[in-house]
Amino acid sequence: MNLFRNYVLILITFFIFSGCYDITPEIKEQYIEGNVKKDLRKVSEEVVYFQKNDIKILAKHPDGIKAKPYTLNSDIGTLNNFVGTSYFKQYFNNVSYTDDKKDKGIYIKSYIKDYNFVYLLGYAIELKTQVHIEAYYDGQQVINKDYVSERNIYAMMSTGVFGDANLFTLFSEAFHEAVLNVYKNEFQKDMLTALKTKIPVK
Amino acid sequence: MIKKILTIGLLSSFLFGENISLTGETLSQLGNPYKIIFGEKNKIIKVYSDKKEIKLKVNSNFNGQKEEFVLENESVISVMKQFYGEEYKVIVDNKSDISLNILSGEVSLDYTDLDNNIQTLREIVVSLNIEMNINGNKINKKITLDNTLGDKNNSDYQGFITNEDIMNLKIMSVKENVIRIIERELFNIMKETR
Repeated sequence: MNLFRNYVLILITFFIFSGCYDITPEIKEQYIEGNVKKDLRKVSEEVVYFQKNDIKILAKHPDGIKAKPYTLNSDIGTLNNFVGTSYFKQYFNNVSYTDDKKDKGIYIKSYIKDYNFVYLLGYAIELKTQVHIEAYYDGQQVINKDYVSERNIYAMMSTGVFGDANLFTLFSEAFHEAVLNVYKNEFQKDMLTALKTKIPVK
Repeated sequence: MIKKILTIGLLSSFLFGENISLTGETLSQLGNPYKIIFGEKNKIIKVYSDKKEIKLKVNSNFNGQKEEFVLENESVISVMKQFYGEEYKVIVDNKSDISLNILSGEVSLDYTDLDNNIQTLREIVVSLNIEMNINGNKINKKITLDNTLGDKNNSDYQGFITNEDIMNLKIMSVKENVIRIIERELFNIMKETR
């Protein structure tokens, strides 16, 4: 009987101290709409084909005692599809998913390789994201590179409305922005250079 | 003696007017850089801005801030080149299709006491009176914009001051922030009237 009681106690302790809270970060337009441009005059002369990522859940425990009990199940495939196509739709009229490599126009094959994040005290997070991007123009490879983006948010409560902000909305928004920053800052710079000079960036 | 002259020079450069020249760099991040590569440009547009200096008075709730910025109005041409360059071949000409001039304006700086009596710049607002002439049609407009540039209104942490709010507004970068805001204001009016 004692053995059974000890067994139950061990099980309860295990559940309390192990990562037993699963969080599925949301993917939604709201998290990037302030950072994507609308009403630009778009390019109609070229087509962008975006290799569609399959749904891929990458589960991670955050660093930092505060969030240790949580497991984040991030769908990095859907996130990359959404953010990547949102980036190109700012500039091009014709952006579509593809399952095969295309030899005409711009063809993008990319995926989120990894992410790491830390929850600090208060409302503060540090997020690091790694994205691999291959880009082709008319069948020729112009980019084949790993990009790293960091997005840190240290927020303190203002005198205004507290709002719905919590650690996980901060994380979700930071994750969207970190991936978007790869496309709009690092990748864009390389892509424009490669298109102008015809020299591939690796 | 030399020390006195240097001190007075340093103080006057800090407290009084500082020249502002626009470059159009903000617009390169706002426009469509792919359009410049892929878009065809067969049309020509002539643009112009008057050569004059505009004093922008600074209103601040923190003593020791500059009293005014002096804007080189002619540098508005750089902003127009960047904006219309996506679609047209841009030529600077007095007999222009489009002229854009800043007539007057002011800058408001709002400091807040966040911690231990350290004054932290919280907000910059720039108001401008602008005159635009498009093929003989004159438009006068007053525009006002703050350092958020009208972006990121949908954040889930709207009720917070974040590290970025403060980092983007360091005292040393007031001038850069003012340039960024003015270029965005000009971009907005050119977009409206395109």
